[in-house]
Amino acid sequence: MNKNILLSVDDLKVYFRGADGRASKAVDGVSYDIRREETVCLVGESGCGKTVSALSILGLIPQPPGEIVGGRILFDGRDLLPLTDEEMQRIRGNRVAMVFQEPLTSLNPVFKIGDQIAESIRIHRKIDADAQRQRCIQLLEDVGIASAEERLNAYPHQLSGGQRQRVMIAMALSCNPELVIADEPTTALDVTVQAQILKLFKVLQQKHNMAVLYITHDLGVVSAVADRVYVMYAGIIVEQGQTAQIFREPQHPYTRGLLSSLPTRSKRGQRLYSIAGSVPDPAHKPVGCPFHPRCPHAVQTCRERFPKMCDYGKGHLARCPVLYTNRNETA
Amino acid sequence: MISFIGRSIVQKTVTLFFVSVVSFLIIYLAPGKPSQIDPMNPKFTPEMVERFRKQFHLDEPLHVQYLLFYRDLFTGRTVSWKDNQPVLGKIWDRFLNSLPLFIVGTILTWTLSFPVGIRSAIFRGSTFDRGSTFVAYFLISIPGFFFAYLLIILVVTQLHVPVIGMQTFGLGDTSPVHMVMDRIWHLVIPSVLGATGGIAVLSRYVRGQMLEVEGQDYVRTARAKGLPSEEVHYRHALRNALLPFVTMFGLILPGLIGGSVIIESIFSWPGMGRMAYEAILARDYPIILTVNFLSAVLVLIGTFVSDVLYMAVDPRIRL
Ligand SMILES: Nc1ncnc2c1ncn2[C@@H]1O[C@H](COP(=O)(O)OP(=O)(O)OP(=O)(O)O)[C@@H](O)[C@H]1O
Ligand code: SF4
Ligand SMILES: [Mg+2]
Repeated sequence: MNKNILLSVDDLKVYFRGADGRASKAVDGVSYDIRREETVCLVGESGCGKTVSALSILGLIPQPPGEIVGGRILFDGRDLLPLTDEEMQRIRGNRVAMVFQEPLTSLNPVFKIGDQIAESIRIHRKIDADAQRQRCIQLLEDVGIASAEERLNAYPHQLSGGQRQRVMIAMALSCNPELVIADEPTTALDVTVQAQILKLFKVLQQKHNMAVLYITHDLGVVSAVADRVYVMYAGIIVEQGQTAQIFREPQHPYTRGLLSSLPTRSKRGQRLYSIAGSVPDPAHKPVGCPFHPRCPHAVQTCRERFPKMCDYGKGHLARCPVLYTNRNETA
Repeated sequence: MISFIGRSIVQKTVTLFFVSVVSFLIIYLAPGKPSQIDPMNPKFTPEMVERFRKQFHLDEPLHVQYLLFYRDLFTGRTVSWKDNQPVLGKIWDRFLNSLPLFIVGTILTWTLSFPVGIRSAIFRGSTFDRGSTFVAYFLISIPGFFFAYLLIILVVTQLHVPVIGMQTFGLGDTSPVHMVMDRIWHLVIPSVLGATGGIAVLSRYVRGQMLEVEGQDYVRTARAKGLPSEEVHYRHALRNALLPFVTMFGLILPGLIGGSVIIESIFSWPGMGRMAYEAILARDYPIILTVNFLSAVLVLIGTFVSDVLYMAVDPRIRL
């Protein structure tokens, strides 16, 4: 296997068992790779399984109701799924860290932020309290929090939304992880703060040589941060490729729909396009291509057969055999 | 902080004043009369009734009676109409009797409910959780007096342990050790009984609170940091789950003066609850009003203690 690959998710399936006993297939056979020091974006509409696939990496799926039904998650060559909770504790926060969507609810309201950052250092590094404190101050300065030393004693409610997310990032970086999973880290923030946080991510990533799995539903963010992109729809990957490939030559109707709903300068003054319909309920997914009820190109086979990945070369893949054959016929 | 204390004291004094007025009115306007002044009572001649009315100031206008009553209360001169004993002294004696029951009951309640509730929440759906849920609902639904008799039958016939009263009657001059053991044995069953309902309810409440907190994002963050599960549960989750109980802690205080009529009656325990109950039956207004006033004071002190404690444990609250 390629030594350069840090994380490889292979055919992951995560189901949630509902009260009625039906399995909700939140993640249904997802595969993606992240190379060392690379930023990979996982993009897709709300409810398509992005968070669930990320939480699976850290073993944080609540079980029950969740259940990892199949697949492998290879981190640095080792499968994480069979590991015990104690073994996972040594990886969480240490080699793989996570930044969550809601900085307000993700920080514990009754502890000082200094203590919350120091905690993971205390767990994973054998250093004394004074060194921990110095490290916390350093981290807060790195993420751009002014008067870091005083801020150690602040409680989460005393910070602004942007500052709280900076604290979350500092917490994630505290043990120099090889991989940081950022689950919509800017969604809860306003636009200017969003841009600052994105910039901070880029700077820190280069400084710390880490890989980032960046989860978002915002293609604007994708173009700003990603090296490579995976587009998810209803628990599966529908398209993957280099950022430039995805933006210039999107091959899946869903990706095209997402892109045409982006506001751009050339479309100023026009009504924004949006994909008709909504993401299917993961407990009642359509047979065949899960996108067919919303797809303008759907044909009869789409309603019957699950589509396979089609290769456009140079790592660009899309799960739409219909457009693939059309293209080859017209070419 | 200082201004908070100042404001509290003013507010609570005003509240106390209203409580005193309202409770006074309710009791005096309620139908029925103290037996001493009831013209239908064959034991008293009209002259005696007249004398009592004068002695109790019953012919004064209501507001004067009110003032006289609270003047006597604050100067410690109020006496029971039934036996002319000073009210505060009577209450104090009964309070000392109820105190051991209260202390043992409270300690049992708080030391059992929390471990049970927390463990049920952490191991949700386990045998322990299901077992404790069953026992809790069993204890909540079984009537206290019925459960008391079951316990008495069991303890007296099987263990030959004395349970009625505060001590075994006629245990004049035995060794001090024997005396103490006898008192403790008498204490056990009524305290356990008094505590069961509380344990059942409080442990369910603790469980619910803990479950809610376990589902919060910051608990997930704590796990994502790689903390061992003990630290996740007992530091991050528990600290937040306990916040509402800090408020309840202050509200234990009024329980000091309550006492359970049922349990005290079953076990012939001369405590506060029975005294208040008997005072109501005899329409012994000074006792009723004094007990009422003291419990209002304790409630207000309790809420004040709660507020202060809450401020101490929840950094988001600054008053
Ligand atoms: N704890 C859970 N219990 C039951 N179902 C769940 C749970 N967590 C997630 N799911 C299901 O998994 C599906 C995917 O959820 P997920 O949170 O991964 O979506 P997402 O892509 O992250 O969306 P968003 O952009 O809203 O965060 C959801 O439709 C939801 O029904
Ligand atoms: S496979 Fe069919 S339904 Fe699915 S995206 Fe392609 S054309 Fe649309
Ligand atoms: Mg999500």
